[in-house]
Amino acid sequence: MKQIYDVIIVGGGPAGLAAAVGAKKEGAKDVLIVERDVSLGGILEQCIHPGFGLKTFGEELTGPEYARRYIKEALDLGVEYKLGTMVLEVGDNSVTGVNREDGLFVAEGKSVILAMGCRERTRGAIATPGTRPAGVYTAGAAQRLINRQNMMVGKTAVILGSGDIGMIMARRLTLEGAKVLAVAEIMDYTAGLTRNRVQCLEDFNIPLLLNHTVVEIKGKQRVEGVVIAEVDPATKKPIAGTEKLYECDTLLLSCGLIPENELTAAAGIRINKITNGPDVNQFMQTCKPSVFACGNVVHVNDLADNVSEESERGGRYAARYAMGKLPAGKEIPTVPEGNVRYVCPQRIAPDFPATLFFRAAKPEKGAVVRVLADGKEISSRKLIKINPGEMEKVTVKPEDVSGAASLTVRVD
Amino acid sequence: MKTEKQIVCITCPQGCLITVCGDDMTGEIDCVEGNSCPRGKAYAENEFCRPLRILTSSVKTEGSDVPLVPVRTRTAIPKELIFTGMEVIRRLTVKGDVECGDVIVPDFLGTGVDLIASGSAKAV
Repeated sequence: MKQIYDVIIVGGGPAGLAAAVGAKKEGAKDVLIVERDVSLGGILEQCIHPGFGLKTFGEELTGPEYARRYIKEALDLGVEYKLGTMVLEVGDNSVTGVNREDGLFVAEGKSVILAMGCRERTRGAIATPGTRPAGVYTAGAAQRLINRQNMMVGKTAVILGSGDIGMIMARRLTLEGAKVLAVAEIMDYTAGLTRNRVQCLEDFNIPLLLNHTVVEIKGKQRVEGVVIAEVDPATKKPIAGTEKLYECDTLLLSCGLIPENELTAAAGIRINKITNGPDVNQFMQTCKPSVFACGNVVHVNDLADNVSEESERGGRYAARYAMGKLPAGKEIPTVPEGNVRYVCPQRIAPDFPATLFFRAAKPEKGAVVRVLADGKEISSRKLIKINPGEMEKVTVKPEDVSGAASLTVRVD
Repeated sequence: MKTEKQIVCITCPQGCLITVCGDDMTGEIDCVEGNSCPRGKAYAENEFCRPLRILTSSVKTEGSDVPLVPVRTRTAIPKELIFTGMEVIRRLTVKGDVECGDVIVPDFLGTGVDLIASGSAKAV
């Protein structure tokens, strides 16, 4: 292990791998990935379904195939990595980690990239009432058990939440011989992509219950059933008298993902309250200039392809910073307005082009997205539909932004 | 029989709503509307009378460093063969080294499409 690296990356999933590739391509000499799992690839390794790489490679790959392309490219470029290594602390120019070979170590980096990804919202986080039997899994935990560890999680299941992983696991459980009774979603639209609703639920006649939630988990040792009730669309409170028992031995939760930012917060980096990830500029630079962040640790993406694109860009700028080629300059905030829940990056250097990614707060048809500099419209585009589950983007040019104190993205 | 079907394209995340009209017995297509790319047109035409899906799953290993290797059909196969395909996959075992892209079952279910490894395993 070297003493000083140009770029150290925390996490070897899709974000970390693409960041490493980007950093190397930009000219960084020594790049290190620190990964806690037993292999590189992160969550892609358990995503054995197709749907990856359409944007990046123009073909439909599975998660492990997609990961292998980046792993090969990173290793061919000479990226170093450490597996089975837990990062304990991130400093402005250092990463403190621990593993079996090195024990406790500190690696110094001219820049550091946070690429820890996200974790699933658990039963505790959504406060589902009832007993505490075995058989309640997050969808991703079940996915790992079934797809990597050859362990089936149950015979009859209910899925709470219509996130992509939940719908994909509904199909996976069905293919593996289990019966999926229903997918219950508290909102009046699916949280995941439309294509997954079609190919994972409709293809297998799995009922999707919109405006429904689990109000009770039954069973002592093992789940024996869950009670599902309809909710009032306005208040999201269960409607008395609509409760129905679904006898099952398994409940999967697909109720959203939370960026994993304990290291970020401990490093004193500013976290955005809406995305739960660090505030970044278009270079994926956090409020600490030597620390960059990319992928789901910044904001939860719908597609691995988007994570790769964003992370390769972050890797390139982190390399430039390490080589002293990313000067600090003036920055202006980006502001979400109307039917826009958040904009990422949260601030931009107005003298450089920027792509602003944003998510709607609620589904809308025939919406117009407008970008305003100090209240003055600089671009507008009509969208056939906008959906919170599908991220949108707009690009801004320096000549349109110059001199403005803030930039607003608005959907009406 | 002459009919019209509304099809949500699953080719990419955009999920275009495509209307196809034609004869679903003969497969003769009269019109395709609502797609925003050629892939969508091709998907909708297939979906109209002959839906196809890529089947992905995993097979058991023997003497390898990991318990399972992921597999996929190289391209899409008829949708009605999915469960028959799972019955075959369930009984498969691979041994030792497996490379991503290795053919696990050639001409899977007589479709002309190979079942290939989409991940790897090392012999131990």
